[in-house]
Amino acid sequence: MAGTGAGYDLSVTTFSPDGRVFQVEYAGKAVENSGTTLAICCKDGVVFAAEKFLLSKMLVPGTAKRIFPVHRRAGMSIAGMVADARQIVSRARSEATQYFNAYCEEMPSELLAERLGLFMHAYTLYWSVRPFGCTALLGCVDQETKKPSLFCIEPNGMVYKYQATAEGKGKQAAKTEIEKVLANNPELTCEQALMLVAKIIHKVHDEKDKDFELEISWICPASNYEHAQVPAEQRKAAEAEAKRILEAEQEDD
Amino acid sequence: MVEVEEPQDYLDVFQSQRGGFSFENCKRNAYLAAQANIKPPTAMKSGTTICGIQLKDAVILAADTRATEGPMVADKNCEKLHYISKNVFCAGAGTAADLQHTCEMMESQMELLRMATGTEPRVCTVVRRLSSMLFKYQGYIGCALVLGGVDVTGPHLYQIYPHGSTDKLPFTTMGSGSLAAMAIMEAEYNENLSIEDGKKLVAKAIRAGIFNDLGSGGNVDVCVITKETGGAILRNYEKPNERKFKAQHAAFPKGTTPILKEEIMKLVSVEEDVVMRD
Repeated sequence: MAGTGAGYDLSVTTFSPDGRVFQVEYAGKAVENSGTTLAICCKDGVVFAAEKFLLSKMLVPGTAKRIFPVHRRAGMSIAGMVADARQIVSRARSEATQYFNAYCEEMPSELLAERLGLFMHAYTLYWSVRPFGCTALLGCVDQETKKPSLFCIEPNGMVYKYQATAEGKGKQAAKTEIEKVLANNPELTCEQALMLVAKIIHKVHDEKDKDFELEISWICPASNYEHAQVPAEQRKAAEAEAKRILEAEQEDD
Repeated sequence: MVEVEEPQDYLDVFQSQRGGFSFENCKRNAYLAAQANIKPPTAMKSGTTICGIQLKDAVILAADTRATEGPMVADKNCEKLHYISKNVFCAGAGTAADLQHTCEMMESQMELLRMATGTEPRVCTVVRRLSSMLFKYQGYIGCALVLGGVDVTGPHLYQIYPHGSTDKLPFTTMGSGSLAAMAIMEAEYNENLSIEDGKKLVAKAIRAGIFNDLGSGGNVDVCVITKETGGAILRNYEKPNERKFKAQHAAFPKGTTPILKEEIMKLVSVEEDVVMRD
């Protein structure tokens, strides 16, 4: 695909003859080359997971996060350039708090996702800025109805509502795995999903890549319906169980 | 004598064009009042009795219908219950124009919000929008409101003062007749009233205002808001001041007044020719 842009890929304000904006597509490449991240709407909440590459053994574990809280009942996991993503997270946070200040009501998730889509799209319209090189997976739980929802906002500004999705390097494999999981367990709870999510990330992790740290967070009854990192013991237990099952599967092969 | 104003600095001009309220006539009005005893026309106020109660699954608002302009009754049957959304209504005391426009603005804002979010607007949202706006204008918008409605979180009743402060209460009265109405409320309110008893209570409170306060009078309007039916205004729920009869005058027969002289003057000459058009 590289090199077919000819002269039409130099600026985000140029269309190619076949109607594509190459710069926005190249932004998508930045997302595709990053570590896998996925999110699932379970029966009682949302679970986020991210494969965080460790660039050095000296890195303090638990830092350089890829999953961010947006408001009490919403979180966002990022695929792509995390530095770009900080702008989006900051914007999501201020949209949510300003909405609450204006209307005394928690911002509905579709509205928040739409605003973020508008925000990201705005950066694809002008010559002086570049598109964001990241995709945001925004997961929310409604305050009253406790209904979970998940949105995927891409660098071109499109917003999709998903039951579950994955982005990044291993997204295809991860999506297949998620579909299998959801087909087998339509009434999946967040507690049950922990181990399955850890298993998926470990499975799609490419051995040729660097070592990684698994980052999981959730919004579910166990966290009092607030966005929180999964407690360390539960995460470690889920990872250990996931690794055990994967090794067992590999032995079977 | 009259002061000559010096040419203004561009900063003063800029300041004066910033927008918001312009107070440039205050100096002129003070001069006129002091020197020529000319007072500006006062806004049409509604000395009023409004009240509201919150029941287990409904909110009932009520208001009188007299609009006063100084010592005169400007409107014997005006509407003081305003629609904000299907499930939120408010009763207003204060400056009639401010109330009308503020409530219309809230109505349109809530409709836009309803379309954007796909959910019914909440009472707390309307309260927040109103108090933010009234505080922004520092009390110059003369709206004192009793706001009530039923949303997903249940029935709620609030009162909002012109400066922007809000109170959440189980029963409330406002306006010049609020003391008379509050006496009735304090004596007879309890949260287990049925809707019918609730309507009778608010009507009784408004009647106390109508008969004991000069600024309130006319009829009683009631608004009942429930979860199932939304809100319905019962216009003129009670009419305690109906005129019993109108003075009847039979037409005086011709010749009652004696005619002393009759003179008919032709002021206009009328030509009877009919002209055909071609």
